[in-house]
Amino acid sequence: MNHRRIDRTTGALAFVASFLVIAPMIALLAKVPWSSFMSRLTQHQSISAIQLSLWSSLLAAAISVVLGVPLAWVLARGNKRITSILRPIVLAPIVLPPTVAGMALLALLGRDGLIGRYIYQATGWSMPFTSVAVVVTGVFVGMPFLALIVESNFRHLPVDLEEAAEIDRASTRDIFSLVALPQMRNGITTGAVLAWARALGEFGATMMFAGSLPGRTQTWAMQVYIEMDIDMGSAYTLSAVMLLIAVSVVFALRKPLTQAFTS
Amino acid sequence: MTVFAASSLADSFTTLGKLFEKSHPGVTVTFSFLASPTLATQIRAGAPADVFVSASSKDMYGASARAPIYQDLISNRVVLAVPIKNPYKIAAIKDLDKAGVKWIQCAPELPCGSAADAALMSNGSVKSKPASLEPKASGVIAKLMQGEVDAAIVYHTDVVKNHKLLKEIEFSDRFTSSTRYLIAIISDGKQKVLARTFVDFIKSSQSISFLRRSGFGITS
Repeated sequence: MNHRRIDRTTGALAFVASFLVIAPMIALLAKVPWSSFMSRLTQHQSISAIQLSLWSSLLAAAISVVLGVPLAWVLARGNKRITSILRPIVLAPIVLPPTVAGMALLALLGRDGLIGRYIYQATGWSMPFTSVAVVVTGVFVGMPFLALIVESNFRHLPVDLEEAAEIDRASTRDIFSLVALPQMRNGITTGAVLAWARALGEFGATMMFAGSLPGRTQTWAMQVYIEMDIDMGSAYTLSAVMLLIAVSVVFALRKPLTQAFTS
Repeated sequence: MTVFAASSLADSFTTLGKLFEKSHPGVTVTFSFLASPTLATQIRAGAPADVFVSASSKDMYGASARAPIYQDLISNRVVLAVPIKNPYKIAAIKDLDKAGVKWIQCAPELPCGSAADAALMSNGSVKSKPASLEPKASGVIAKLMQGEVDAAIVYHTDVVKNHKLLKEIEFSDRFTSSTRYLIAIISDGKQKVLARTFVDFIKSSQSISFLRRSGFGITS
């Protein structure tokens, strides 16, 4: 790294860029009423929203691992004609506006949805307004992040090991589970944490698809939105904890994240 | 000129805004239709509004630092709305307790939510809980129209607008189910003269009778 390589203009633009990103986060922390921080964080509504968000996002991350890792393997090693079409479609939720995600989930799983209507007719149960909807939304928005990271990691595994295993007549399933997977601990962890963080922060699609009921579908992010009109102090408190989580996640993952996006 | 108005006014005020623009060449009215408490928060934070129309007095007080003088405008009331098809044959407020019925209302911090809570409490017969306390009034009517729920507590004006698809069941206590809209000129707005003209236009008998046809009530 040579500091003299950076000219003044570029340096100034980089400063503005850093300011735009860092300053709002510092301002947020500055607005938190620290003296009443714990009492605001532990009030009933906050606790139940945090609990719901934690368990639903962890469950969404777990489902994302179970389904997303095989998906990533297929994208990395599958038939290129299929994967070149499949990849952009399954990764689309990364750039999809949350409101569009909400509409899409309703279109499929709502009472009148393409699948939802049969579930409703058969059982009288529909997914919107349930905690299940919160988890499904989390998987929809989070799993693509996991698939993206894990696929990139699979691609950078040396193929020699897999080829050697193939020569030794290992089954394709064993190559996946016994050869490739064990080398993936870092990649899967990174992907899982990203999927979890995305699910934890989800707001728009959840509001549209799952509604907002304390204890059942009213998530942490939703609580921030609601408190903004009732008690700014609570909104700042709840936001600050989310911010600290986000920063810690990125900090803890700084090495694998850099690798995943540069290799 | 920028007008911050409760989202339940979106349809009628859009129409009135166009009429105003027509009779005042060169004037553009920009609306921001959001939940009243959200608008009040934004006004407190210095949002560039010229006129504020809230759906409750509470939210007008919330913006009182910049909207110290306000006037009564119109009223609205919450009703129980059900689709015309109405598979659960909901015919009275107490039918919300029928097994399998899924119903929603606005979150209690919204005017439509506090009116719904007050109306239900005054009615006293409903024991079931809503499936969701929607943070946006428009979300309640949208989910009812989509068929995600069997009933919803919405504004009378929402039912008037969708009268081909919805029918309403009134709460017997009109006082608790009602909400009053207040209108104010933002004291440090950039277009105070125009704002005054706009408020007079909204309060004119022509505008009021239009609002009345949309289902709003008269308060003064």
